[in-house]
Amino acid sequence: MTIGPTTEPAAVATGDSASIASSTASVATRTYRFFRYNMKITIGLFLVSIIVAFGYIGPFFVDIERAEVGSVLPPGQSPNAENWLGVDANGRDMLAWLIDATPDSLKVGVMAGALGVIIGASVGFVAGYYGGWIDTVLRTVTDIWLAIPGLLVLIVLASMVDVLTLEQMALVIALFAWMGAARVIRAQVLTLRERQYVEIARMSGENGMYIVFLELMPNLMPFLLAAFVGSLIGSILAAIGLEFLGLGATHISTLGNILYWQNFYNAVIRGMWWWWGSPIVIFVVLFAGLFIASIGLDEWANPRLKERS
Amino acid sequence: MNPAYLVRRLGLFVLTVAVGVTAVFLLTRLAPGDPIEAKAIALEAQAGNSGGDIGPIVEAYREKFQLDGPLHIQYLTYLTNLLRGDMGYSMTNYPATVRDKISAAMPWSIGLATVTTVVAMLFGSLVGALIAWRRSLLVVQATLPVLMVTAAVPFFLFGLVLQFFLGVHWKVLPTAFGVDPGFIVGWNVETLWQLTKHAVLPATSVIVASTGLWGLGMRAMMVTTAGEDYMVLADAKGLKERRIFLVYAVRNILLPQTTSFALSLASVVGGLLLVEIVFNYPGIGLLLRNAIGESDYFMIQGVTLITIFAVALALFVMDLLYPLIDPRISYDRT
Repeated sequence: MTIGPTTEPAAVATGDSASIASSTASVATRTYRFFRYNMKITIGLFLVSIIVAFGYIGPFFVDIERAEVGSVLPPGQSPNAENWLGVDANGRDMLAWLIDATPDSLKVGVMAGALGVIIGASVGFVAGYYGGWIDTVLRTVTDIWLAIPGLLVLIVLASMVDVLTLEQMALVIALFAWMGAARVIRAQVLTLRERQYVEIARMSGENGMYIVFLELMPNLMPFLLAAFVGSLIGSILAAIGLEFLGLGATHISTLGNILYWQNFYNAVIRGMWWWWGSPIVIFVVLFAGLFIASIGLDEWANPRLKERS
Repeated sequence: MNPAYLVRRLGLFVLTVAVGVTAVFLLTRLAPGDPIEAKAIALEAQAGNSGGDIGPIVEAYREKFQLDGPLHIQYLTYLTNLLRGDMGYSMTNYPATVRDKISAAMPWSIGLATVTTVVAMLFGSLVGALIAWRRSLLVVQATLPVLMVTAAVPFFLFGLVLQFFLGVHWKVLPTAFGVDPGFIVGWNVETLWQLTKHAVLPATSVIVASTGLWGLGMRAMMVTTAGEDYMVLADAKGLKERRIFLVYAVRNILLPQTTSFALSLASVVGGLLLVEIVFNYPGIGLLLRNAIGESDYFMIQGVTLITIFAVALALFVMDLLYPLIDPRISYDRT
């Protein structure tokens, strides 16, 4: 994490003289310091990494085959010594199923979130940098897009086709995950554009691309990261919404599909709490982590938000 | 009110609806696969036949639902029909029209949305403001992490948890439907009781989750307000604590709060629909779920169009109400 606001806000706020001289400190020290002073980012990343580890390291310890229908009998067992998270009504081991489903749910979110930020940042950048009628048009488009309930349009789209692949789903979701990034980046570019160092670069005859990538981008980095997490959260939510309705990538296991099937088989009414309870725990940890990290990133990008103590 | 602002805002409203309507049209017409043919094949299979000639059936359906003719003609027909409030027939509940079905479901959804929004806004803002308020109890301040979790988790997941504990495990509240099955709704006390009883769980799941969102927004803004000069002045003047809190701090934040709510309204509505599905609540969310299950494309389309329209209308009205919330806004400048 070497890119950041030019003055380390946390260091100034705490008056830590050591960190003011951070230019001489090693990368490791600076990384440590970054996480130390941005506790929300640290906690958020920690929570998210638990889920990532669950999905990606889990397969080394648990046999994924047990997620197949009918592989554990009798079906419907509550959590016990052999099946830690219980078994669903069709003989699928919950633990194996969850481990199998987590990576794909994360993948959709990351792909759609990244795509959303790329679209949003480009729109915001062009709007803020060029201004004038281009800005007016792009801002109106963003406002209109914000007012349209994305989930419903996604439902219309997904119901027209039988099955979507993960990539198609991500692409579709990204169409409704860019507006936040566009707004934030536009506002930032508007203020950055007037800064003196940009002015100087412009006057000394640097071309547009140079200014954009070497003068503006580094200063936008924190905002881009914050916007990415925001659009990641929105994308995962949209994916779960679609999957809960039985749409989207129905042929592979995702966390949303598990929720669809528990609803389909009335797990709540039948008292099979392990069926819906365990995916919820994953979601709570994941969303709480992402959300706390996004608040932390916002504060890092815009230190004025940080609590005065 | 400045007419130029009104016109501009009205223009945005019309544009939003137009874009939504066109997007839905294009998606349904250009997507691969033919819903009519799929429907006919499904009907045939249902009747126990297969491999028969479905051509004439498909043609008949096409004509019935006006799906023949070039795209721009279809678009014009679609628009004129929409302007008349005609969204076609439900494909699975023929001859019921989409409009009838939606009109029956809409009051449930609007009721749920209104109650939950008002309660969550008042309660969430209060909690958020108190958390940021330096002089409030430590216990209150310590609820911040709880807010972060509730704000982060989708509505319908709370719904599942509440449904299990209050409906299935302790059996204190009904887990599904708008009223008891077979109950006849009328203007009486019993109806009111039924409606309330059945709305508690879905409403609570929305309120809990959105309280977090409102609360966090409020808190973030309270924190930045706390350092403002006018707050220091209010303190120095020796004003009563309550007055500083409500009139100086909270009042100033209500506008940005409303704005951020307006920005998220579209996604909040999506969440509401999912909650209805969890509780089998007879609103348009449930209508949508059933329509998806039965591949009733016109119904899916209709629910989407109505929701786009409703959200755009709500945002339009909210913009017109801004000066009531915040006298600093006047529409002299646009």
